[in-house]
Amino acid sequence: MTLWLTVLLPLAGAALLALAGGRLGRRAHGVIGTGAIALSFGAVLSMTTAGTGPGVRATLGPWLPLAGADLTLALDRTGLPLALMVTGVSALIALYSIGYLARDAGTQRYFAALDLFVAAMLLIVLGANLAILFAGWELVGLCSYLLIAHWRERPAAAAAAVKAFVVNRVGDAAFLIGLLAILADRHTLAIGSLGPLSIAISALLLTGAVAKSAQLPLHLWLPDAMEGPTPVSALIHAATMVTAGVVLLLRLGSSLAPEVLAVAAALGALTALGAALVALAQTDLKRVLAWSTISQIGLMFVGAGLGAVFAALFHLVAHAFFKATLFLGAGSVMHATGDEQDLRRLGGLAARLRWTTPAFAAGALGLAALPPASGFFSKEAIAAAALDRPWLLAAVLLTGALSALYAARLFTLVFLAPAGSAASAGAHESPPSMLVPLGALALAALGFGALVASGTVALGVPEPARPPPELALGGGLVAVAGAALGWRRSRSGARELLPPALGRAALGGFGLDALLAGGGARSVAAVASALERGAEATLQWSLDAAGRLVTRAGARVQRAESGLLRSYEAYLLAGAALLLALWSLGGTGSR
Amino acid sequence: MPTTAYLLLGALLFALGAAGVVMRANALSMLVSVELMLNAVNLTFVAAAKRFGELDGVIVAFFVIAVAAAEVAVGLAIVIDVARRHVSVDVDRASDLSG
Repeated sequence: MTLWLTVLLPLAGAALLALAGGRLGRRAHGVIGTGAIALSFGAVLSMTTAGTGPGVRATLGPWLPLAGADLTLALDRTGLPLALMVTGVSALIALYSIGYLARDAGTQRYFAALDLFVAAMLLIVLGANLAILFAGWELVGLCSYLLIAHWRERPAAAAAAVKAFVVNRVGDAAFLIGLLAILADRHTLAIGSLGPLSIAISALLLTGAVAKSAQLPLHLWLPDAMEGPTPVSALIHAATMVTAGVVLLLRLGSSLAPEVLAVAAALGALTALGAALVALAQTDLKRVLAWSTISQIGLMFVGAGLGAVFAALFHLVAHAFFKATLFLGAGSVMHATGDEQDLRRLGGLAARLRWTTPAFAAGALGLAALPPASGFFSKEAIAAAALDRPWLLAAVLLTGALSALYAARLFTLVFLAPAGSAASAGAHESPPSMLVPLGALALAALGFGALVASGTVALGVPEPARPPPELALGGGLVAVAGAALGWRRSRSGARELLPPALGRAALGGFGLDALLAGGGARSVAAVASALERGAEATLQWSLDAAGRLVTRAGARVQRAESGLLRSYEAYLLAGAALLLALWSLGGTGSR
Repeated sequence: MPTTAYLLLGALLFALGAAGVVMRANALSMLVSVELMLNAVNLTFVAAAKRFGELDGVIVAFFVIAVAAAEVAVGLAIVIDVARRHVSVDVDRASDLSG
């Protein structure tokens, strides 16, 4: 029952806020929203010992009339660290939101959606069957829509929310088809008893994961999702949304076809590398972070695709810590400078933001995978998993170097380079309610990797054999070199790192957004309008034809209405004769 | 005389009357034809009454005669009105309701 509490507490928080929130103040919204998630975190924490052992199952009752589709949650070795991370990081982000949205009018729907978001993500992490997982999957999409469009009066936010929702629908549709195919094929949805799945079904599930986790070519929605409030970005990127695809791959893991897993790894490597290049060229603080998320999730896909559960899980949790730190740090920067997020106008904040700067630095260290931050250890684990695949290994290492480069560029431009505008010069530190969660996450981002690597904290999943020290050395050197280069080039305030032509191409995401959202969407729209025109023409024609038919028939009937009394009498007689004939023919038979 | 003969005569008179109604364009001729049809039916009723030895048919025949009298009154009124409007009792001219 404690297991269900983890989901029901945030759900109750969301319901309470949605139903009775109008009568409460902003502070109460924040307290309820944060408290529900914090209590859920406590519930997960109380099951730590059970979760590392044989696991916990809890059934609330039957749900769908399908095999294995009961309301059952299961906490296992993979689920425990994920559930702890989701609830813990979300609670800190919710706490941070209280300060961040102190003057916002929409705190009721904000915290209600936040709580629902966490409950939905927990369904994905803990659901014992694919039906529950899918319910969470859809709810996550809904909540992301609600939260990205939080500032609904901004057209850009509304458009970004629609884009996120629609792109996710592509994956959701594939996932749903895969789910039904599994049901038809295996007659059960229970995750433990699926057995090996066919390539087609695995590919459909992978498509779902790719869309939710913003991997190539369905990554388009994530950079635009920046239009939401910054804590929402932190939530989506770190705890509750984009990792869902990785969670799906990890949970289904051995059931998926090996060919599809290889595709997942290749896709992840390609995404990691491409998104890292794009991140290098961005001029918007939050967009750098958005593209870096796509890149880092790509690394998790590499790990999950290679079957390295430990590595993928490790990087997922480590990434959640440092990415949440970075986004909350970015939120603090924006709070300090009056919502400035243009890297060309920020700068020199280190002297003014005494607490945000070290916290952001901890996050950037993690992103750059510099020792001793957690990213160093988790990226090393992924590299170790890719050790016997030279191409994947090269992609992972190169992504590591690029990550260090853009992380160093980002930090240098925002905090060290000369101030670029008056807003940067007049910056003021955020209130403690924002700094406390930021600090806690920064500490986690800094220490988590070392704790896991040293064995102090167990991830539940058995750690594979240690990678050779040369790999750690090489990865570390690559990261240091990248970071040093980024720092050297950016400290004087130079905004561009890439050659101009490449930079321009990378700034627009190599034209993929324009190609897919522009060209692709345009061609779909063209097909749709052609169909619409065709349907309209057909409808028009058939209505016209029906009309003509009735008119013609009417003209025929009209001719009978001659106005001649004798013709009417003739009809009368003919009718009477006909009835008589019918009666005498049929009547005798029936009698 | 067998009942069949009455019935045949009735049918013949009815057919003649119906043909007259349809074929004659003169309103007065049509009224006469209608009378012929009514009396053909009367003949049939009376023949049936004689055949079954009951008075029902005779009673109905009296009713028909009474109604026919009323019918002639209404019919002649209409004919007079038609004659005033169209300066003729030709029913084919009275085709104002042509569609």
